[in-house]
Formats: sequence, C-alpha cells, structure tokens
Amino acid sequence: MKTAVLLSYKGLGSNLLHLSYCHQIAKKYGPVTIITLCENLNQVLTKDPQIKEVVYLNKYFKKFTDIFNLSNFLAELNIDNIFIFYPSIRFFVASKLAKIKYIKCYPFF
Amino acid sequence: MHLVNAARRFTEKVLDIENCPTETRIFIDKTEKDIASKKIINSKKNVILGIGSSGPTTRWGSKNYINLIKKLIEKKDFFFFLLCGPNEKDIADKILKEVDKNYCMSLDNKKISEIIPLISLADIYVGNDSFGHHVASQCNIPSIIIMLDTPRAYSDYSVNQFRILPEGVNENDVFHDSNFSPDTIKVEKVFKKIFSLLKL
Repeated sequence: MKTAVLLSYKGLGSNLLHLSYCHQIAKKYGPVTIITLCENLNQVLTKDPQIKEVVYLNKYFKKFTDIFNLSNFLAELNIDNIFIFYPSIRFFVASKLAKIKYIKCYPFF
Repeated sequence: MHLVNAARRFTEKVLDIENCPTETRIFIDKTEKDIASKKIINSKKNVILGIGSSGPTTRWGSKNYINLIKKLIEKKDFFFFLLCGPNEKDIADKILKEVDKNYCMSLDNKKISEIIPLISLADIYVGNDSFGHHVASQCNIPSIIIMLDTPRAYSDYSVNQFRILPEGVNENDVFHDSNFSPDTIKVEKVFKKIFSLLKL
C-alpha cells in the first residue's frame, strides 16, 4: 500500500515544518512518499527511513485546467492513500480522477 | 491560516489521535555527520548564522551581523558558519570583509545535504527566518529567529525556537509583508539571548 503526503509549499522551511505530520502518518501507514513543490526537499530527507521517496512537482499546480495533467501525474505514482496538506480543490479533484482510493484534504472553506 | 495549527488539527483528525507532536527529529546519516564534524571547532562555540533567506524583507542585514560577530568574539571564543545561498554570496562577502576569516566561513557554495549535518552539530542557530532554523530546532539545537516579516506560525512549533521581535511589537502582529526595519531589533538584544541560551 502506497501512501503519499502532498505538501503544496515551495519553501524548504515550510516543508520541514510539516515533517512531524509526515512522520505521524508514516507511523500508521509505513514510509510515505512526499509530493512537494520544493525543489530541494529530497536533499534533506533522502536518508530518512520514514520517507520512501520525495517527488518534486514542478508543474501542473498553477492553473485549474492543469487538473487532468495533475491527475495523470498522480495516477503514475500508483498511490493508494493521499493526505493533502492544503485546502486545494484542484489537488482533491485530481486525486479523485487519478482513482486514489483514500483521499484526505484540508477543509476548503 | 496558521500552518502549524492547521496541520496538527488535520493530522489528529485523519489519524484519530490526540496531542499530535508538532516537532520531530530530522534523520541525519552517521557518515555525513562524521564528515561534517571535521569542520566543527570543538574549542569554540559554533554558531550557524542564518544571514540568507527567501526574501530581502526577512533579512537582518550584514551590518547587524558584523556588529553581532564582533561583539561576541570580544567576549568568548566563537566560530560562525554563514548560512546563505549562492545568490546571497554578496551578504557573506560583506561580512567576511569585515571579520577575520579565522572566525567564520561561508556556506554559500555548499550543498544542502552537506549543510544539514553541520547544523546538527552546531551549538546554536541565530538568524533570519530561513530553512536553517527548521533544521536546527528539529535537531534539538536552540534557534534564535529574528522576526521581521514572517508570521509566528513558522517559529511556533518547537521548544527549541526562540523569537526575537522588533522593539514594542507583539508576535501576533508580524506577518508576511510586515516589513519591519532591521534596525528595530538591536544587536545587544540578540547578543544577550545568545549568552543566556548558551549559559555563558
């Protein structure tokens, strides 16, 4: 079972601020895949045993019309569970379209 | 949105847990730590000076850092690692021009993967709101964060985080774009905080 955490933040600090929550999710589901907008997060977490991989998302997150590309991107990762740490309708719908079984996202409003 | 509160509440809800910890420990490979330890000067207090940051409005400025370094080395043996990116090399150069190189080195040309273990071995982080304080605080290293233009959430989740605010300003009144002048935080205040945290 593959579990992903989506961090919709570009800054390394903003991503590291969420590390405790990634670790908590990994405690329950096993090592997680982090999908992030931060280019260099992988340099910090490559050796972390609770992080399976860090995937850098450098496109498909700006326009609503990117939703289909984003869903294809997520589908290719073969994720079973996704935790979206951001109130993003785009990420939520893209996850649905990617047929991810278990999707949890921040409240939109 | 308070990033920490939102993330904690969300995690507690989806995992059905209570009191989700807001901080963790950053995992650092032993070999990388051994390599970094060769740069640490054991006879001195090793300070990570976070002189860079993602934007100019969060920076305390080279002048203040120069004055802080000079004041500290007058009192005790310190060594400073100047933490900044390659595009912020000019800030490090200004400091290196004024301070003897025996007291500091710039990390502008180092990879993040080389910097992380170094931070984990330092005695303290002092500087702008930059990734360095997130690493330091989650490596159990005390971190002094100079808050000029950053919401409190970024330094609100670890027992190792200590904020220094502009004179007379409440922590709830600092946001992105607050744009407080660097001179509203005095060198003396940062100096005293370092000495108190390091118990010197």
